[in-house]
Amino acid sequence: MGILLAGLLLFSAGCDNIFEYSPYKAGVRVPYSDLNLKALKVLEEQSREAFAPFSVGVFGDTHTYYDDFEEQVARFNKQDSLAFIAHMGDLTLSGIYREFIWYRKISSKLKHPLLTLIGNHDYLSNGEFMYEEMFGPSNFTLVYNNCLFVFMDDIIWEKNVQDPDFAWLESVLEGSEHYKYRFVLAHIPPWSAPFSKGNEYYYNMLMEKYGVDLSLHGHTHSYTYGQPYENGPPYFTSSSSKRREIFYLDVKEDGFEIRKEDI
Amino acid sequence: MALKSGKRIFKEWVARSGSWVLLLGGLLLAPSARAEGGPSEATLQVDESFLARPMPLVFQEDTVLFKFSWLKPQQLRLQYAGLIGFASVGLGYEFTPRYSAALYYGVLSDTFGGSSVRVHTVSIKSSWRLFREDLLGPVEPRAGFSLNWGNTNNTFRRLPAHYPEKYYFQNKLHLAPFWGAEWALPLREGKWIKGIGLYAEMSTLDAYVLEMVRTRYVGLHDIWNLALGITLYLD
Repeated sequence: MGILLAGLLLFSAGCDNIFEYSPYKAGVRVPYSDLNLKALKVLEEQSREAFAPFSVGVFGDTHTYYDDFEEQVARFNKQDSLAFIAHMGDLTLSGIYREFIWYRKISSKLKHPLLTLIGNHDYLSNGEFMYEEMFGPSNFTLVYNNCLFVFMDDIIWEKNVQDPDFAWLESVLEGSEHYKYRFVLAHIPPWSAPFSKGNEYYYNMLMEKYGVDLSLHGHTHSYTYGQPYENGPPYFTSSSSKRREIFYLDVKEDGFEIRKEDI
Repeated sequence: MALKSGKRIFKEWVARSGSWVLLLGGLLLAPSARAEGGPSEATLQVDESFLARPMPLVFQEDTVLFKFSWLKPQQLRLQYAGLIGFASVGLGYEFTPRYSAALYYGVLSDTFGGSSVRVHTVSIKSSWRLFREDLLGPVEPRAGFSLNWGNTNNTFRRLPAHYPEKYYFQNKLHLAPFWGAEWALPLREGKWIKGIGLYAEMSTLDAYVLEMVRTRYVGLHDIWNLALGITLYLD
């Protein structure tokens, strides 16, 4: 009995979260809470009033491709001068508690501030609530070096077919003309199946109306860059971790560019 | 209103999510009935109490004699953690000297377990004694698996209609293998409890095992969690 108990205790000592109540648990404590809000605070302090060139690391759809995800993190850490890193959503496969914790464990090794968007998979089970506790609200904005970054939750099916919050999007884009650049980041690109034709048209119309410079997305698991609509900005989609690529958005005085790096 | 045939009502009942758990529970309980005497014996020794009275149940053309006393568990269990809630209660049934099963209900909430969303879990646990009885004295190593049925937000057995086919895999039902041991103490002359057992079990989830196989990142030591429990052996 003694040996058995000792073995059990020794074995359990290796695990840091030995008691697990449910895969559907939604609830984190400090230091795992409000990670986006904390990163935004750091970035607000770092940001300058006037425009100055900077680079942003971009990746997404890490799901449970943990080995590739770790290598992406290591590759980002080789860069010294990244302002921040944007994760384009789908940080989990089933939105369960452990997957959020695994994401946090790997991404905490990043030496740059990280902003994480919500993806459709992260809405499964109680992922929506877990995301909110771990990162903060799913819609948020950042002004960095006089450039506007809009992070938008455009998940539709997993919210029981709910249109994206275009009113919020419009409210943050309105009067944003004085920023040097305007970037919108949302997990699902508007041409993807969850968007109805009406929503797709409306999204691009807003991009055009407010002169958004680039619309960035994930979801498709493959890298694309182009101008799919007659009017409106160029669109970028990041690939999944499995493709073993990372991306940079270089924001310069005379324009911006997306750079892809293979790992 | 059109009248439904009995057959159709039964089919709809089976199709309705949830009812299968009752059915499965019923199937698990059936062998215990046989161990206790079964319906044929019951006709010889008539017990007029409500629980022991044979009750005919007709499933299409088959008649099954059912007694509520079959549902009387041999064990009551209380468990802390173990993927089926912060705390859970279970009814245990000993089918053979080696095999026992338990039906648990567990809850996780803001107060109990610190989850902002409430989770109700129904679980059917099958466990097997690993060694011959009394080989290790009062310690009984055992292993098995649970079928955990989680009820909370955005879980489904069948995808809602607005999704394309096979867009997601079902996320309501999980298989949870476990291993552990119980330390049992017989109680002298208990009125209705003949013994008490303390158990500890390490369990994991199908999804964690899958990531352990698929990735180098998730290792064997990452996938386990501990559950502690008390078993009351009823007289």
